[in-house]
Amino acid sequence: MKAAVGRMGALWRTTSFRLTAFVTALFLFAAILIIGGIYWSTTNILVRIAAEDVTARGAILITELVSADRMRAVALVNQQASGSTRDLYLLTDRSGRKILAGNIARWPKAMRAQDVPAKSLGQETSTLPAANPALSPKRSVFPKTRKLNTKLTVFSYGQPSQQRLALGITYRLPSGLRLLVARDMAEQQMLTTRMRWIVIAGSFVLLLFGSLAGLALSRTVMARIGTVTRTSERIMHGELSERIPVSVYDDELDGLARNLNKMFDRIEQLMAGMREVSDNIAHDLKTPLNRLRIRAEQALTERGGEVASRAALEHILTDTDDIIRTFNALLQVARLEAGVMDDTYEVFDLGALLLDVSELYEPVAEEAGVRLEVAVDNSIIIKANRQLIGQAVANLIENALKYGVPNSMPNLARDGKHEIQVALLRKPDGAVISVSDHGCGIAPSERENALKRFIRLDASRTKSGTGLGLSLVAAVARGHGGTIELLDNEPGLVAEFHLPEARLHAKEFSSIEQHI
Amino acid sequence: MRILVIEDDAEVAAYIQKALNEAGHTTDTANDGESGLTLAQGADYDALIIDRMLPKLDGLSVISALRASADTTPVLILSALGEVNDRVKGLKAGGDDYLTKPFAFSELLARIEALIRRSQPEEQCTRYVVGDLTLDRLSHKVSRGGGNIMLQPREFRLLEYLMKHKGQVVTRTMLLEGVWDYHFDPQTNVIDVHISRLRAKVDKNFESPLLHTIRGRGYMMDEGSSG
Repeated sequence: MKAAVGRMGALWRTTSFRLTAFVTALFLFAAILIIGGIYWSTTNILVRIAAEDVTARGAILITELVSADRMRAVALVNQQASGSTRDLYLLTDRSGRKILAGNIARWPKAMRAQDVPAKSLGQETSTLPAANPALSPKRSVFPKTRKLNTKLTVFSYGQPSQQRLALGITYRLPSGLRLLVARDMAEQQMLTTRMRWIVIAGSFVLLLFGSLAGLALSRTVMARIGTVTRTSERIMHGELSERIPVSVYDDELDGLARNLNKMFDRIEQLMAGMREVSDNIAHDLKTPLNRLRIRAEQALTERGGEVASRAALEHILTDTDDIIRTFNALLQVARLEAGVMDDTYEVFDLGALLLDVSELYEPVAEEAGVRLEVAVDNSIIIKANRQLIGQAVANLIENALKYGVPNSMPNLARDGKHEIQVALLRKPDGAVISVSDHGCGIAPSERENALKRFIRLDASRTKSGTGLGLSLVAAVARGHGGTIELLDNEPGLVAEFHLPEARLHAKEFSSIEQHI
Repeated sequence: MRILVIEDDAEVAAYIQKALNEAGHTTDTANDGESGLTLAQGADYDALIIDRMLPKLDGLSVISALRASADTTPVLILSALGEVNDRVKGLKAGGDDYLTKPFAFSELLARIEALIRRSQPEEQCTRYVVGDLTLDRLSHKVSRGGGNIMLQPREFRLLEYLMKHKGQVVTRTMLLEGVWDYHFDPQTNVIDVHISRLRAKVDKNFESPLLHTIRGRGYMMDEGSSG
């Protein structure tokens, strides 16, 4: 019992069931309103027809009775009354107790007080209660002795065990006799009763179907939502690879499931990223920290005097700066992975920025014996984070300078072999910054690795740097909705930084080509 | 110069205070935002060094409160948050410069001195002079010892920045920020190469060098020889 109540409570708590209950109630109300309206107007019409019939028959009969003597009156009334059981007549004496003619056994009690004198009958038919617009009953149910107007009255007659309703009118003849003309209302009563039953039964059927529909709806919807809840609970408990099953209906619940799955994908990625970050911190920060510690320990144990310990301290300071730099870069990549904030975007000329950064690195390139060539196809105005884009371009150039020039032959720049090309191109789907060198390049199998955090390809382990250069560029690209691609320059490497169309801001200007 | 340091890490605060005192400045310290704000409002300081994360009242609120009372004392924000938008927020709140922790003291000193210098009323100079080197900001002409020196636009801006901060140490990051407007940390010695090019044009063939390298700190433009 308790369990059943609990289950009902659980059912009631589901949105779909409450919604169905509400809709069912609304429909029920509307149905009652409609059927009630039909019922009301039907009975209204039936009563009116009866009233018109009674008054018409009464008027005809009375004109004949006014001039007739008692015998004739009895004969006339009996003649009328013998015809049917629906049309009722009764002629009594002055007191109403002695029945002279008619097809009703007794003068109805309700009519007694309502006797209407009809002194002037015969002369003026217009005083007769003809079809009267005010005749209609105010309610569709017949109370047993309700006055419809001063002349027409509803009354009951027949055996006490089998009472029937009738609508009638009374007259007092000039001779003092009482006349009752009425119409049996059993048919109408039956109709209204049946209609009342239809309303009640219909309501029950509607209620039943509504409840069943609500139950079915909440069962199915609840089952599917239950799956979502259970899956997300499992994910919350650490099973990050769990996903909500998507059904074949492709409805809004599936849309929700798909979006949630996308969100879970993102969470899994972020979690994986975090794990990767901590792994990398462990690996790439522990190594220099360990080196730092060894250096400090050595400085303490060795007796090298003031000069040696100062030198050791300077080394330690440099090492610390390197660690801080690595740490900052790592933090920046991790933050960028979480998305660039739009409020740091500014509008600037990407071409100008490219020229600017290239100019910054041009002297360094020249010292390394490399020609830095910049080809800005179009001046492209973009809306992005200027600092980050600048840093990405700087990193690409630094990378090209670091790895794109073979150490063995640094002085081949003049024949155009050792140059770094920086270019900006307008593509249909956005803008592309490409930085290409003629160094040893990166093997295709290692290109994807090169974009990951902390990866330094074995060939470059000896060179300085945090190893985060390309991964930062990749993070900047992703943060702006773009991509980074590493391609073969035959020989060498081409790094292409794609910015999507959405980042482009305004019209482009005529093409500029410039060499530094 | 009188400097107030609002920093909750006692060791860092003591270190900054000691080093600033050695550099010839008077310093007061406060270890939370509220007492820092009270001190800053009570006395007349030449510059404030405010940590961003402070107990009781955070650094940016201290700065906002000061700026709301029309206090224009230059403020250097110290922060462990070094993201681009953190910097923007700090400067929007009314900070004049932003330094990310951990920092080298030389960087802090160079920046705070540059801030103090900047805040002092000076007539808008149209020309800078260091020794026999003259830079005309209007005609974009540079001359030394009567002879013209031809400079690239960027070299001109670099020299202009150095001469504006005559007698002060200017760090590499200050140059990258002030001349190129980049806040990142290049891994190669880009600034050094630009300086050596400028030096080749400005100091070569002259007896006394004006552009000095201050080891471990940065560069300085001065007529006397130092560092």
